[in-house]
Amino acid sequence: MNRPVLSVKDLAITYHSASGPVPAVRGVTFDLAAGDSLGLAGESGCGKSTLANALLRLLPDGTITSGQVMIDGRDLFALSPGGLRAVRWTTGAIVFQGALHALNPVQTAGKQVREPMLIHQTVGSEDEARVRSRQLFERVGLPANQLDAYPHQLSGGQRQRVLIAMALACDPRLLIADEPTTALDLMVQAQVLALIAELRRESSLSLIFITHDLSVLTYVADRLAIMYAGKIVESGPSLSVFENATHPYTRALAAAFPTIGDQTSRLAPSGLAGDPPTPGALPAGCPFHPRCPLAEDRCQTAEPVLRKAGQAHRAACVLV
Amino acid sequence: MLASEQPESRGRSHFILKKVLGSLLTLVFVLVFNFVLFRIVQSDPIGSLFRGRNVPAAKIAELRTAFGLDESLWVQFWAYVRQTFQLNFGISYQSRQPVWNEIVSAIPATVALVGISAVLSAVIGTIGGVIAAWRRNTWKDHAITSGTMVFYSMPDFWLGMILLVGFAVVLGWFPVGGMTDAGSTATGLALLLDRLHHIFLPALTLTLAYLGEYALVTRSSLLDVMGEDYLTVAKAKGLRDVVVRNRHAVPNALLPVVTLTAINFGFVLSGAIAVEAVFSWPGLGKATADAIRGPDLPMLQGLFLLFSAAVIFFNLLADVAYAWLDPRVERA
Repeated sequence: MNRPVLSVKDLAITYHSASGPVPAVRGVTFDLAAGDSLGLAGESGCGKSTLANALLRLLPDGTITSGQVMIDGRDLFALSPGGLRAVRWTTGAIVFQGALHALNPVQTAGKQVREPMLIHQTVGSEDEARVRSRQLFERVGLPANQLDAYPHQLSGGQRQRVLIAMALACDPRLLIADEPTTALDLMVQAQVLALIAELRRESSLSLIFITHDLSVLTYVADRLAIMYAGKIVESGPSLSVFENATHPYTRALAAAFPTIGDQTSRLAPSGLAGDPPTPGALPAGCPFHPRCPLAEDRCQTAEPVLRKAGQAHRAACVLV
Repeated sequence: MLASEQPESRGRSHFILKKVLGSLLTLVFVLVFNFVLFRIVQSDPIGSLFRGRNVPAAKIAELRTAFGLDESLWVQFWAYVRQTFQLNFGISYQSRQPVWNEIVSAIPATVALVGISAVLSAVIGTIGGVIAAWRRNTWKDHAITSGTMVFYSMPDFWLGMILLVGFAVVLGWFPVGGMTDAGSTATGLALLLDRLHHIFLPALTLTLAYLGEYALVTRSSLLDVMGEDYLTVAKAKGLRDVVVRNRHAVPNALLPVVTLTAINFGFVLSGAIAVEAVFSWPGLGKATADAIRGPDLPMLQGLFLLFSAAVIFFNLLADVAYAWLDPRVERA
């Protein structure tokens, strides 16, 4: 069997803040095989972006991490600074949300795409880097003359494509996409999703796709993991999780999007009352119980663990 | 929204042209203001020329005609504009020399002193600010921030007096004032060393006084930039910390510092009026202080015009530099 590209065991991440420790991720375990894709979903503040940043050790100084991350067979937390820099972008690359400031405003798009190739010497010369960046632009559907454009001269969708081209610069085995379509309008969102799906078909790229939009994930991810309060509360094959959601939180998340053809859901999309708990002050027991429509007394005392809820499908709820 | 290079360069040159025209307009305004201002403060130039002395009325009338003061304001204004363009600012009351000659002879001393201080404070202050921000909340940050803050909040002439008393009067390491030793006939290297010896304390005073502004502006600007996603991207690309800082963080953080530097250079000519006075440095600042004491109005009028022109010029330079450094200005 293939060695997994990414293997995460009991990963816990605690931020250091003025008001005390903030446990953002509280024990996450998953494997990602070569060519597979995993969708991570959850509301803002559930720890999904922290998890993404931790996969390349991009967290701020002073953050406490425990557990293990094996990336392409290497223990991420045991790497030397030089070894870590060598792994970054060549093994795993990140696509951030492009509408924000993921591109340096005073450098041209082309220069930023060429930079990782030159740093990691995956090309022999500046000229080779130019040739490759033109190919990458073509692959993500951008005209070559936009290599000389500055980020502010590009639209949101074009910036997102630049970020994808940049992530592919050193042929990584793993692509981590952190809300890459969130700030785009629907048409552009669909184009970028189609591009990512196409890139996956063309190569053996493994993908971690992070979003709060469950419907997006069923399109690009083979497997889904739903996060709540720093833990995975449900995971399994995409369709199984989306259509047969077991955890009340997943059900609420899935129901928040109107179902096509169903008038009642369009007229009254069912949301979820309340806000996710702040990581610094989690409720006792199941962290979801204050918002859970099915909460029982026992939910207030014991935090449930992941249990089998179907074929390759697991959920962390006492009702499973 | 296809972007090609052409509209970009057109956008930039359009921006620069707009700024040049704006500067010329400001200069015209200053010219008019300078004329009006001195007509308001000085109702009787001949009277102040002979203050306290008994001068026959016929002589006064003769002088009024000679100075053109019996003409209408419009005629006077055009004469003023014409003479300004000929660099004729009149005769100094105090030295009886043409104001322009007095100004020109004071320029080198000021450019040397304030130029050295402006460059040193910009370079040291900016580097300090970068270190403080990049190592924020460490002892380095605290030392730089509080150290520069102390000098920034001190009046510069007071700091100069303290240094003067300490290093020149008590310790006797440096001369108490002037630009060269009195009666010195040194030339060549000896003259240069003598001048360096004299310029040290006033230059130190001004450097310390300007330093804090650069350090604090650079620090806060860099701290803003450090929260940006593109720095996380740069780090994720596998760049060394120092490359992330110098290639991605600092170029973006220095944009406001460029403006500050240019504005401070605009003040190079006006010099540090108080500090030059403290160290008897024979530059434009001291000339201004002396002219105010007079009051030597033609001298002040010439100086004000020169100072304003310098500030306008360097502001223009700041805008041009900004347009060159930041591709986004074409939108402005």
